[in-house]
Amino acid sequence: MRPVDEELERVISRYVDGEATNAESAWLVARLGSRSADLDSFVERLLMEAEMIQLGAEHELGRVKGRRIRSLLTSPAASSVLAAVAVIALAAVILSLIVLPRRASFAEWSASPGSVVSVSGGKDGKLSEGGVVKVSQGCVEVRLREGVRCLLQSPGVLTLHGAGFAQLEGGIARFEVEEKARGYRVQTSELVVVDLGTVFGIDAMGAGRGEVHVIDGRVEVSSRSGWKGTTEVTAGEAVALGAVGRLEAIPLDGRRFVESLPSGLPALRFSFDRLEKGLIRGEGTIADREGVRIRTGSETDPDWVEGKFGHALAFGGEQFALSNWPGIGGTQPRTISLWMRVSEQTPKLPYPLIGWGDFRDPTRMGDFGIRLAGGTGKVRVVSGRRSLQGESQVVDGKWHHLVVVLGSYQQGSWPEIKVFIDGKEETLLPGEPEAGKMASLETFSTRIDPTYSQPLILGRFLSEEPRHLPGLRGEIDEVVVAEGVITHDQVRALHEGRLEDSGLDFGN
Amino acid sequence: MKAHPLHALSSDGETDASEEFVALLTQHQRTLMAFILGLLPKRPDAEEVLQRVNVVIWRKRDDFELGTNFRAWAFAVAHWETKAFLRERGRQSWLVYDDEVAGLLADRLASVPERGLSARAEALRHCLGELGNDHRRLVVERYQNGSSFKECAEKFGRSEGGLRVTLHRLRVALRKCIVRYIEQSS
Repeated sequence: MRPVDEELERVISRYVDGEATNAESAWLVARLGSRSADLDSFVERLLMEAEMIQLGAEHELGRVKGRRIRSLLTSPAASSVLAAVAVIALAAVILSLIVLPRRASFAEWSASPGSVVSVSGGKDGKLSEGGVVKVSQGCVEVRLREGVRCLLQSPGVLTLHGAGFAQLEGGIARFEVEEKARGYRVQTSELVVVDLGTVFGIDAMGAGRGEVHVIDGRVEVSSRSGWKGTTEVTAGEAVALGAVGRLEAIPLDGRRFVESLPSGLPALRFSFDRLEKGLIRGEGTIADREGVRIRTGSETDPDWVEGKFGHALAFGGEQFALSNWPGIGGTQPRTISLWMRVSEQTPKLPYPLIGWGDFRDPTRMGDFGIRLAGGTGKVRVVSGRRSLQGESQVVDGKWHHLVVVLGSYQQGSWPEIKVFIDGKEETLLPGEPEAGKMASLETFSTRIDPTYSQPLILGRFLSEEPRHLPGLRGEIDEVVVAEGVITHDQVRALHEGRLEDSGLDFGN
Repeated sequence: MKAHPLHALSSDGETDASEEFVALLTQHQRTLMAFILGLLPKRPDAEEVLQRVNVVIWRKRDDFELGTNFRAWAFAVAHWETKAFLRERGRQSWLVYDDEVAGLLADRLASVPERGLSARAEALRHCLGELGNDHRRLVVERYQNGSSFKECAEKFGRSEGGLRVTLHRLRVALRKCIVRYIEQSS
């Protein structure tokens, strides 16, 4: 047996009691890193501590009697019985630690119609501690028994680590925390938000991004990296993470955080039926959330004409309509629906219908748009100079309903894309590559950076694309963009004007 | 042992694979606790981290194939969760965290054979049985009831400092007893 190093043992005792000073802790770590024998001593002490804690947890310590234990241990058969009993007891303890908490529901969840949600750590609308809710499209509501309600809009992941702590990855979430749950903590990759009795929203969309908006009460917000800091934010205030991690005051925008589950997928609609004070206002949940509009008053404005339903926009080649909405970014699922009428097409020139994103970097699929292919008059979905093309010729002077649905994306191939013309699905083939270098399919991710990207535009190519090309000559009506994919039946509902059956939330 | 993915089986804990997984997890509770205590010595914190580790391991059980190195996987999860916990709570000012020492500790604990753990557990029970009543009461108070030194001092009518010294000596004595018992048994 090794001689006992009294000093080492003393420091280990203080360490395991959580009472070591910084100097003692540093001394111990240095010894452990340099002396194998000390590491052995430390390991033996830790194993003893762990065993005693386990015995204490099983309420076995008070029952240990020297004579009884000794007599049991004298018999090999008895020893094995004891060991078996111990294993069974331990298994029961561990099962209660692991399995039961998973089964015991401590939260419930529900989702808005059309949502795509995956859940681990729960079933039948229940969630256990450690449960994870991933919402790929739509919105989910999570209610903790402890008095916390969260409305999470896609795309985001919420992990419930316990009664007082959740991790949020991406998404836009509103938290309502009751008095009894005060101190509830939400952590994103960039921020830690601690409730101090409140209703607050967190926008965690995009890497390195984070905003906290306090609708009621107050919270404590800390940045986790860079220029670390902590600040208290009260009702009516909001903060955003700056470039180096500093928290900067921004205007409150409570509209972004929905108060209840929407009736369908978030959607933006331009009916073009009303022109007020030079503005064409968007409708629907996205428009309400982000104040989406098209400003008019320029010589390049399209004409306001009678359309398929009410009014439409007419483009003459040099006209376009530019919104203030950045579009749907990343690989997030999306649906675009519009009515169009094109009588003739200049040979071999493509017509842009709708688009947004960043076209500046030709090596990336950072833009997203829909066009009519030059010469053929067929619908094209384009990104990074690549395209997928439908089969129907739609340049015939008649109104046609076009829907493009972009679903899940597997890196290295096109996202799952469907195109419907007048309610019927098109067969898609790769279109002829445009001039210049094509971006790799690995890079599909629509960029909606506010500095460099083009907001949603109708009738013209994105600003960085070749300017010598004229824009659309034709009409566009009833533009709808939704955050998520819809079914063929819902496409037909849009085609037939049954908006209430489209699975989209257009608001009141 | 034949490797087969758990996800092919039901998750109700009734299959052989699930039972085997639970057995593996159960078997490693003490070493995982010892590891976490070595990095995060305050017992309530260590217990919370162990609980998190158990939840993570259980949640990711489909990723694990029986027959592969469960211990390495579990220690990696424990290491990650401990660091995450320290980040969340703000590292205690006195604690010196060293990734290299954490790795050494994981290696050493992971290499303790199962038989050695059983022998230690037996020896500890034996040695606890050798304690006098006062010392056993102190052990029960600290490890079973989770009392602080201050609470123990009030209960036993002694000074905190005196109890710290007593518990330290008691631990050293228990460790010597364990080593002696194992040597004699073998």
